[in-house]
Amino acid sequence: MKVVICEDDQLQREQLLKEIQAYASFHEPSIEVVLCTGSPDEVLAYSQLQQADCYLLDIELNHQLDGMDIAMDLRKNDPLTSIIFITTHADRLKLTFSYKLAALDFIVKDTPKRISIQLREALQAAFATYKQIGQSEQLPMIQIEIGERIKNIKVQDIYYLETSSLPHKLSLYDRNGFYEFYGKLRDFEQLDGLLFRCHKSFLINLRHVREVNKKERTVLMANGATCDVSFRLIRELQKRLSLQTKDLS
Amino acid sequence: MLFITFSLLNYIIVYGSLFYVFSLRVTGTRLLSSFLANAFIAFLSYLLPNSLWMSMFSSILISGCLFYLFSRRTSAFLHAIVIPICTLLSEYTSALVVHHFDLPLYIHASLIVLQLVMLVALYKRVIDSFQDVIRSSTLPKAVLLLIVGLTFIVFYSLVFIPAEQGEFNLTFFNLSLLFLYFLIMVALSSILLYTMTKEKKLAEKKIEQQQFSHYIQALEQVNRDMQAFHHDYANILLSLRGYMEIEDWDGLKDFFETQIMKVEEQTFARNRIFHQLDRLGITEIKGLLATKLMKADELSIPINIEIPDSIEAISLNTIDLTRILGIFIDNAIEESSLVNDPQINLAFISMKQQVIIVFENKMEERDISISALYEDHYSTKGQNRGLGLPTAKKILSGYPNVTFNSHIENGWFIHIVIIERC
Repeated sequence: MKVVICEDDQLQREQLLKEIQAYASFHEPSIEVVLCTGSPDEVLAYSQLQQADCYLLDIELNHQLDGMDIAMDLRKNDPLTSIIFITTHADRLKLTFSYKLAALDFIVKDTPKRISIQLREALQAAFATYKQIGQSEQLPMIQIEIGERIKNIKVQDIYYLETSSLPHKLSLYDRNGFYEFYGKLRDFEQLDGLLFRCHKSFLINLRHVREVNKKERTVLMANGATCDVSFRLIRELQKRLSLQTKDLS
Repeated sequence: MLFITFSLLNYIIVYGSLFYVFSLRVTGTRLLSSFLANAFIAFLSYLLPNSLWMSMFSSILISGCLFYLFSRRTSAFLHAIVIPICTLLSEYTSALVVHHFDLPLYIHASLIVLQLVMLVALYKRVIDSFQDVIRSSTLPKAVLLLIVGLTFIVFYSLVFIPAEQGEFNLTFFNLSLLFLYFLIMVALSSILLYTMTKEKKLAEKKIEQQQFSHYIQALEQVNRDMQAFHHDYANILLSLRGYMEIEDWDGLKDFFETQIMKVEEQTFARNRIFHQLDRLGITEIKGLLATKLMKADELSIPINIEIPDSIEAISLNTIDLTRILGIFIDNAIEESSLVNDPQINLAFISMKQQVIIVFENKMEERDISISALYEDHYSTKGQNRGLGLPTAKKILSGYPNVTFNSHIENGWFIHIVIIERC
């Protein structure tokens, strides 16, 4: 994993470099610092020619460009690279970093000991992302854009999708909450064999069905919500469900 | 045969204009059910050819109910009365004109269509421009419904009954009288709506002023804090000097860590919050946030707000926006009293095409499902509380340009509202 450091304070820059090298030699030998500089121009010049996998950027740089500007520029060319900000207490913009710049993490300037702990955690996260990008084979996912940040939700974790009363708006429910986005239910039917369009407005995941109420023509999902089932499909729903339990046993 | 053609024509006119006025999407079920309703009315008028009023009133009632079912808006009944009035008015005026000048049939037909299109388009424009007032409270809706309902009855008894009995002179006199009346009624209704709009604006202004004064009060508090800090500052320097004079380096280190850094963080946290709020150009929200942030501060809940770029407008009704923000903050503060290390983060992030509002608070680990939190009347703290979240969701679901996410992630309860710029 190639790492670029941009920090204009020389003392702090050297400390960061030392820390990363120490972490690399003990834990992940494949981590390598390819550029360690105080000038944003050098970072941008480097990114034009080559790709790094992880950037550590100081927010406050003594330059007309600050860390956020660099990050914006980097994002244009490479949407996948990990960005870690280094910041003082005064401008701790956690949410902005993650939703506007899709930054992976940030490190608050503090005592050397605490910086070191934060740096390790951030590097670990960056390395995990780096490995994940390398893996070509992945489970089917639904991607939801929230600003620049992309949230991946595994199809198997979805409880159900529902249309809203307004056109083109869909809601997705999983164990942790719900997400609204623009799209059509039809586009998600084929993602996975266990998604079942049981009604004009519902696409349910058969893995998370708790029970079927045949009389009311509804189905109770694992989160306690009920979805409608259309008259024509209730038989098929029961058939698919019993097939699935047979497969499991 | 003629009868069927007429009822089809009636269907196209009445339901077509209703779909148009509501800006409703025409789907198969809607088309079919409205068609069946019309067929029923046609059948009724066929059975009882002598009491036309029966089928007329039932037509209004049925189309009103049908469109109420489609749109869930009570204004369906209003539109269901107004459109037949428009239809009948244009039919009879053109009939009289044709009768008077002895014009051919095709002119008659085109006169009807022309008048009707004009009336319906005008009506839609009026409704759209006043929809804020009409939707927000029931009083103007009720008054309008009353006016329109009475108009219909008067029109019917004065114009249509004599016309049916063939007394065209009487009809002509009544019609011109009623045309005057119609104009007066339109004027009166618009005056009513105008005053309602004005009153509403005044109320909004008042809220804005209140919020602004809250903001000023909060700012004054920060100012007092800063003065206190200045006062302490001199003392801190003196203590530092004391440690240095006796060369107690360990004591100095300890004093620096525990006193200076901590005080600095606390004092500047508030200051920073107001610095961020400066970038928000919407006074009402500024005031609301300032008040709520001070409240959280009093309860010593750490709260952080991020507004990285200036935001002048958010494409959401201001009252709705203040309501949902109030709900989210109150919920977050309530929840924070249950956890050991509370923290609330709030961000208004301006992007090219959208504004993103992010809200997160630390949450107690417990086995709850989010959908339960969004059910009416659900609260973890007993009955009749926690009505906030379902209300917020309901408000936001009415906007086509807004998407709303709410989930739990690593002990944080996160709400994200994405507002596309329009």
